[in-house]
Amino acid sequence: MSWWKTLFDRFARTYAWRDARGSLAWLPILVPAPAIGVAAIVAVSSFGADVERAIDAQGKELLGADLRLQMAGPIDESLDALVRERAGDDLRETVDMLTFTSMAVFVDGGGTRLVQVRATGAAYPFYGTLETTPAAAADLAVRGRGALVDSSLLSQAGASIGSVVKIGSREYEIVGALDKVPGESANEALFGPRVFVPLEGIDDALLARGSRVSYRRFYALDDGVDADAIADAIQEQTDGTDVRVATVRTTQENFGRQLRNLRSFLQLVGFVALILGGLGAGSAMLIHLRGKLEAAATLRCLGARAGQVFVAHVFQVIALGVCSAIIGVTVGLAAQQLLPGAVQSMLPVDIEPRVDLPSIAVGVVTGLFAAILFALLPLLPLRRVSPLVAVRASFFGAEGRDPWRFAVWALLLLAIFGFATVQTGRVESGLGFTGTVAGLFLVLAACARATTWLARKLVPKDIAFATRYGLSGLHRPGSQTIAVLVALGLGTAALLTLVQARSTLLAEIETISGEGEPNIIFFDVQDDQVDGLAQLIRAQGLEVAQQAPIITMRIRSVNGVKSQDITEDSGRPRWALRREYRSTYRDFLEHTETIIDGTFTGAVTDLTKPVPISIEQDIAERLALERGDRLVFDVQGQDVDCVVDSIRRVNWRAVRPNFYMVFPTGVLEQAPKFHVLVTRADGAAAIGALQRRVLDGYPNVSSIDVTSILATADQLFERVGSAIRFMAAFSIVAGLLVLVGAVLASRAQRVEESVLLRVLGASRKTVASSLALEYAALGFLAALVGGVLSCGLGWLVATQWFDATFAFAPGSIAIALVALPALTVTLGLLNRKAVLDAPPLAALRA
Amino acid sequence: MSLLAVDHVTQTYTSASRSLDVLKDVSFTVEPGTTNAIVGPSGSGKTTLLSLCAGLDRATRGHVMFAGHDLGALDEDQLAAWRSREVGFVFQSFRLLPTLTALENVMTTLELRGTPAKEARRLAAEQLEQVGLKDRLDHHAIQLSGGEQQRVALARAFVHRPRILFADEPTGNLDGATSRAVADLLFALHANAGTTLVLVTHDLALAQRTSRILELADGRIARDRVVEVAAS
Ligand SMILES: Nc1ncnc2c1ncn2[C@@H]1O[C@H](COP(=O)(O)OP(=O)(O)O)[C@@H](O)[C@H]1O
Ligand SMILES: [Mg+2]
Repeated sequence: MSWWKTLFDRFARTYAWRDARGSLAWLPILVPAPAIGVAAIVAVSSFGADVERAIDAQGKELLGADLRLQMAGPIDESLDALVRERAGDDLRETVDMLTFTSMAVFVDGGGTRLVQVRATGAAYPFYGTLETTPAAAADLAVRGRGALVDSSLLSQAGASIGSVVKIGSREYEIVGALDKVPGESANEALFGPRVFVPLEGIDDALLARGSRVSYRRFYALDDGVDADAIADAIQEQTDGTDVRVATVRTTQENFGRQLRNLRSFLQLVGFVALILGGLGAGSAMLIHLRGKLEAAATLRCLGARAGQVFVAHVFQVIALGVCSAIIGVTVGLAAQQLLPGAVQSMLPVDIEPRVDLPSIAVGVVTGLFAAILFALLPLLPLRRVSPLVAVRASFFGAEGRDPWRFAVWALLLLAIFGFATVQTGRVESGLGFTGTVAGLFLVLAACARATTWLARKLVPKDIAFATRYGLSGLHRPGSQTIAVLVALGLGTAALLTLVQARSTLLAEIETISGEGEPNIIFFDVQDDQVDGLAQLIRAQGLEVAQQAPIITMRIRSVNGVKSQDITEDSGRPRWALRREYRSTYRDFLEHTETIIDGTFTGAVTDLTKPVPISIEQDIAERLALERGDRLVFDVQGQDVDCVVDSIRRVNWRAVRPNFYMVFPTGVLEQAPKFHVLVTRADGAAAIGALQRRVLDGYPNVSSIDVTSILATADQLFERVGSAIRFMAAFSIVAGLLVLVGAVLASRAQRVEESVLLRVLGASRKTVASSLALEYAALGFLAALVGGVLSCGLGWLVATQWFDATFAFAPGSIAIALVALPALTVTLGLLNRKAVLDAPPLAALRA
Repeated sequence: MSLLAVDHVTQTYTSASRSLDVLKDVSFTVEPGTTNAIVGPSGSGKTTLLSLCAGLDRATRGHVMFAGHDLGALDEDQLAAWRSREVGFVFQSFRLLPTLTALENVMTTLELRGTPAKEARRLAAEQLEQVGLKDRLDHHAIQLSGGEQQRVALARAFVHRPRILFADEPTGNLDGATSRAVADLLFALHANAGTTLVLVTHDLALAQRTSRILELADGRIARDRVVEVAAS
């Protein structure tokens, strides 16, 4: 009979049902692991749908308008005219905004902070609202009277509502705390705390004196106006270089792109949880089905076909998958409610969790698929169970390798790939996911295998019986040591990596601001202010550690080719060609710089020849520049012909102005520029006093001190960390569920062993301690694997991402090494009563 | 025509390097309606022989014929179908399906042949009543004593009225009194249904109740004697 007919076999169905009813005790062991996988998938993809819907629905709020122009100088009125002409009667309203960084002095609290000033007309924003405390502060009338200050800044600066903040020469009453700005995530405040003030009455001196001001004009259009067409027309007219045009569509696209990373990350978490759950279910299934082998053989003796036996169990697995899916969906929907809380600070939109049927369908389908595929591996032997198993106590049947096992593994990989591709809509992402997941598991499994192997090798043969017997449990068949180690190890690694990365960052900031290193930077210093400021610093008994002029410039051409004509496939990325470079000139190298190619030219006199400049090695690599290459810079309207004369390595970690391009003296002295001064003051009081004194004399000069960078980095870490903690928690819960499954599944086997040991003369205490030891070792190994992995990951993050020296955090690893064994022992001793209380006689009779 | 014919059967097990002839050129026939015992020391090949007769395994050489048909010509599924129609099997260790009730265990044999559930339930209950377990229908194996379990197994093996019943040490796991009771039941069912019996046993008392005893030694039939007066 062909196999598919067996699928409709009545006996298979009947037996599946009756046998399942008799095996209900296994449900709590087999269901939770795949359920948590389904839960993760449902939660993550529902959340993705929530985000997408939010971006869709809140597109106008994200931009605050229908169209926005942004320029580095006052808005070009011809562009404005173009918008008005195209929009005609459909133009409802416009409002302007100026943004620039400046120092804010909190007069009552005494704090001085660098802030992002947003000077706006009262009509901003057209869509969405500024959320403030008190809520009434967002009212146009109230806002017009004073300043709105980011709530986190308010408390840091020791200011409160009603007190006064001074920006430039103007004083504003603080009328409210800013909680949320449309289109901006809460994290934005960490990079630069925001202060909203009325556009009218802004200190013009600030605008004139060097602060880099960005001018924005927001347009509200009637419904049905094609803002994108207007945007295109503007781009065409200006060649797109000086003006940035944003519409609701481009804004949505931008946010969609930014959020894709977060979603990919969460999706990866979902996958990992699903696969962990699948592995857990699969290995519990292995033990479960091992107990079914004899019944299957008996059925064969009674005249059942192997196909009927196999299909009966496949039915059960499907039913199990359905149970897991139902529970998983329920848990997933609950988790969906929690996710926004974990990542809200990274989101510019408000998330409203809603039941998303496609996401549930995805969860159910993948859950079923995972449950079936992972259970298929232990199910395969049932396909050809020999009736001889029933007639012989020990069956010698050498089954040999089953080619189907490879087929199932291949199918699993294919399923992961297919699922990832469908979810992300891109084959490369699918491959990436599959590769990452497979790689992650291979590394972890290799770690786990290595540690169990070492445990076996290193444990001396002549140690106490309880110890030896306990450790031997780690590599008993079906102990799921590997699955548990993978799951717990992964979660622990994620948590520890977070801790290590944080300690790396903090240690880094500490070294760069350490003894004698500069810790305050003054910038936006004008030509005529340099000497005065330097004097002021020295008058405080401090030293000017460094002083550098800064000239902004863009690349006009590379080796004679105009930068806008250079294509991406030249290996020179567009952003690197288009960006603004802030360069300096001097006739010496800083001690943080080393020439690695060529010679450094300090000064030139002959202006007819190309100017020999020095380029930092990373940007030289990005721009594919070598010594002798020719560059023309547009220095604020003036073309300067240059030749790459030397390539420099720069230690970016020092708190001091570092530059990509260093010019020799004798070229740029007359160009419009500003200056940076660096000094060191010890103690918060001294730093504050210096900042205030400088601000009194030079209101346009901004300063930043390292302590505030530290606080910012720490807060940022706290927030980004919550997403990682969420994933780690999922992984650890999955691991513990796998462990509970393994513990419960092996109960019968353990009872039997315990009885045997006690008949042979072992005391209850010996049996108990060997049991505890086994699980303690498991937890310890998981922590060890996680710890080792976190050091590797932490090192990668430190060196590749932060460009810092990895700071090992032994304390957190030590905690893991104690906490995880405590957890696993607690769970492992779930069996304790049954195992220790089984009377030896009963076991002998059975 | 004999019901079962074992014709020059040799069974060789090869493991790693060594090969072992467990049965060496064994031949005998079993007539319908008779009771037969296979005896012999442990390891002499009794279970192997019984497995070959019941189509659970295939002979290395020689043929096993049932009612004139060569079992070797049937594939696995056909063998299973044949067992479900013609064969009953009783194990030393009872082998009740642990997740099923006594009644469901007995129904299983009927349902494997396609008997509708309702009919199967009625016949199974009747059969369990015959073996004296009327009030144990809904019990699971762990709730039954060894003797009771083996009686359920007998009911399961007889309920579909097979033409031949194989039993491998059916009393091997039971104490004296229980073992006698089970043997009584076995022969009563045989008398009732006319089923041909082939028993493997250590138990001389049980062997003596059959009409023929085959003695296996070292993979060969050492003695084949017909017992004149069966004890039952
Ligand atoms: N599949 C097998 N592979 C190798 N040897 C086997 C196999 N099955 C049985 N044997 C061997 O065949 C011999 C006879 O076994 P068996 O038929 O069980 O004897 P009995 O039932 O008479 O005690 C024993 O020595 C046993 O070890
Ligand atoms: Mg035997």
